[in-house]
Formats: sequence, structure tokens, C-alpha cells
Amino acid sequence: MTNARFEDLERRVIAIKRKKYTKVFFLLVVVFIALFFVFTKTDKVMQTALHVEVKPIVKEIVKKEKNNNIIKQDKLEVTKKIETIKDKNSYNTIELSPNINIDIEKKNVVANKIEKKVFQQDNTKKSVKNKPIKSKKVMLYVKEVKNEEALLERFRAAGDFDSSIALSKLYFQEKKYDKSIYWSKKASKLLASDAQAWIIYAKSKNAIGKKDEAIKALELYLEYFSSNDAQRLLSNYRSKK
Amino acid sequence: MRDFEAAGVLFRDDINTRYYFDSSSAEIAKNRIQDAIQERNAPLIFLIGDPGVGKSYILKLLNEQIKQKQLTVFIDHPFFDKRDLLKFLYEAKGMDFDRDISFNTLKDELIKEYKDTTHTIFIDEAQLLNEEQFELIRILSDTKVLQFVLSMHKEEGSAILEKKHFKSRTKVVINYGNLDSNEVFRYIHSTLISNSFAEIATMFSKNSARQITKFCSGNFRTIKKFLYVLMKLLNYAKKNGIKKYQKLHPDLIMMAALELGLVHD
Repeated sequence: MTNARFEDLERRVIAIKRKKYTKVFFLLVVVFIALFFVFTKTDKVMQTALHVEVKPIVKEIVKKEKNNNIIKQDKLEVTKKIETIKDKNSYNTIELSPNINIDIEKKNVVANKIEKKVFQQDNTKKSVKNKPIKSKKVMLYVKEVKNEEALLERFRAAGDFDSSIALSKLYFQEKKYDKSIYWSKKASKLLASDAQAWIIYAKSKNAIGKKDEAIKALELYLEYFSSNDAQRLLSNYRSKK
Repeated sequence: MRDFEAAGVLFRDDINTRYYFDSSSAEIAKNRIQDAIQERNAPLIFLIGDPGVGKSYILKLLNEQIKQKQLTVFIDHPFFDKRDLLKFLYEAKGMDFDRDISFNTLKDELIKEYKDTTHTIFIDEAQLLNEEQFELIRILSDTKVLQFVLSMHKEEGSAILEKKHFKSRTKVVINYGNLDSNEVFRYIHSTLISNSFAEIATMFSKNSARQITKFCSGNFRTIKKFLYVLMKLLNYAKKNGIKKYQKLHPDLIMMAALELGLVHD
């Protein structure tokens, strides 16, 4: 065994050992990296499964829904969050489905609100557009004329208390006291117990200066029936007498 | 005293029947061949194993032991002509061999001569024999006068046994296996201690024997070569005072493996 031969063998052994250790080192590094990725992925899956990230988002949305403060910005944030989680892990798709549903519901709510607002605005616009050029008084007159005719027609057909009392009120408002007295008498004959007919009769009599007759009529009614309105009116007329 | 140089001589690759190592494979093979020779019920005995497991060693050992009792012929190299085998057998019996006489006459004469005595013919490296030679062995063995013990490499031997010459013949086939690490450990210790190298023997642990067995795949010849080189390396380290290698360092075992080409860098 020569010196050179021995040294050569020694050097080769060192090289083999270095190669072996490098292999082992790289193998360990690969194993470590693989384990790291496996555990990281498992952790992410676990987090998703436990809704660690998802739950607060859901709560936030629900809370906002309750308060009726659905802001578009929040909606965008939620969508962004969902997209980010989706990108990170495909498993999230299933877990996030409630969020997406909530988002859709929220969207519907927003849509309804918007629709309502638009509808209201349209109505306002329509009403403005359909506004008649004639004055308010004329319009009321037309309406009243129509009502008087309709009520008269109705009374002619049915001869009921409602039509007669409505006519007496209409004429009283139009300060046609004779007619209101006439129709209130008709109504009181149809339903004597109802205080309305007696009160309009009293008010009409008072309006044409016959306060005594008004008081007498109210006293007569209150002898048989009780009515706070009739009583108050009677007291009022008596005090002003 | 640590005389690595002298210890190395014990592991030189030569067949010295004085240093027989009784490994389990060797013992089994030896005993089975001995039984078959004594019983003489099988004219053909095959010893099959990987190259270097110790077939030649066992064959030589048996020849040494048996020739004390009966006539044996040991042929350790292949013969090129079928007449060469007859010549061997003629010479072993002290007969004159005339090449000019016909082959059949030579054969008949030989059988007549061998008929009354028991003979065992050992042929080492029998896998090197050709078809014609195998046929001659078959013819001679069929006379029941001559008994052959043939050692062959495992791979070639298995193919030869499948040939028509031997397939239907009565024969004994013995497989000779490799050593395991415990046998290697025992071999190293027994060889060194029996030659007054106990101090060197204690340098070898079971772990180092395991490493050596692994490098040599349990092959007896390779193990001997390995130990020979290892002793040389230890001798160098001792002479040059390299402290690291005053004990049997694993690097030294690796260096021996590199020297023998058992590992590649």
C-alpha cells in the first residue's frame, strides 16, 4: 500500500461521504418542504371547514340586513373576500355557498328597495305630469257635482241612510243649509238613533240663525239616545246663547 | 501484538485446506457429499453455487479426506478433448495411455480396470465442459463403476442439469449458499484467534462484520479478499501513525471496498 494510494482512497471516501450527506440533506429538505405544504394545506382546509374566516362575514351581512343598512360598498367587500378565498382554496366554494346565497338575498332586497324608490319617483313624476291646468276649486266642484249626482242616484235606487246622510253632509259643506236640513231629516227618519243626522240638522239650523231650534232638536235626541258629540254641541250652543 | 501484515496472509485468495471454516453452508455441503460417496447410490453428485462461495475449497477438502481411504481423481481445470479425461483416469490408475487406440477400446479398457475398486472423480469448474464431455461423463457414470462429483456455477449448472444427459439420471444436487453476517463475524474471529491474532480479532465488531458482509454480498472469496486489503490498510495506518485509523474506522472499511471496486464513487 503506497502513500499515494492510501491518500487517494481516503479522498474518495470523503467525497462519497459528502455526496451521501448532501443526498440525505436534500432528502430531508424535500421531506420538510413536503410536510410544510401538507400541513399548511391541511390547516387551510380545517380553517375553511370550521368557518373561521367565513362566519364573521356572514354575521356582518346578517347584522347589516337587520339594520336595513345595506351599503353597496359592503357588498363589494364581501364579494371581494369571497373571491379571494375562492382563489386561495377551491374547497371554499362549497363552504362559502351560504354567503353567496346571502349575497343574492341581499341583492334582491337592494333591488326591491331600488324598485320601490323608482316606483315612488315615477308616481311623483306621473302625478306632476297629470296635474290639471284648471284651478283646485273647479276641480273640486266637478268632483262634488259628480258626487251629488251619484249620491242622489244611489238614494233614488236604494233609499238608504248612508246616501241621505252623505248628501246632507255634502250640502252642509256647500253651505246649502236648506238642502242639508232636508236630507238630515230624511236620514234621521231612516235611522233615528244615529247622532250624525241630528248634529247636521242642528248645525244647519244654527247656521241660518235658528239656534233655539238647533238646541231643541239636540235636547230631543239626547232624551232618547246618548252621544258625546251631540252633548258637546248642545253645551256649546247653550253657553253661547 | 498487532501484526496486520501477518494477519493479512491468512486471507489470501488461495485454497489452503488447513484453514477450513465450518460455515453452515460448507458443513451441510460437505456432509451431504460425504454421505453420497459412502452410500454410492448416486453416480453423479453436483455441487452448485455462486462463484467464490467455496465450492473448490470443499471439493479439495473432500478429496484430501477421501483419498486416504479410496482412489480419487481431482481435475481442477477443464479438459479440451474427451480423450483428455480418459488420459487423466488412465494415469490415475497407473495405466499407459495410447492416443492411437480407438476411443471405445480405451473406454472399455478403463471400465474393466476400474470395475473392482471404488473411485471418486472430482471435477471442479464443470460448467466449462462441452456437450461431448458431458456425454462421456454420463456414459461412464452409467456403468456404475465411476462416481463423479462436479462443482458448477449456479447459473450455468442449473441449465446443464436440465439437459438430456442428466435430467433423467439418478443424481444428488447440493446448493452451496453465501455467508451471513454472523458467519462472517465468526469466520474473522476464528481465523484470527486460531492464528494468535486475538488483539486484531477484537477490533472487529458485529457491526463491522455486517458492513463487510454487505459489501461482499456474503461471498466467501470476496470476504477473504476484503479482509486481506483491510489488513494492508490497517498496516499502513499503523506504520504511518495515523491516529484515526488505529481502530477499525468505518472509513477504512469503505476504503477497502473502494480498492476492490465493490463501491463506486
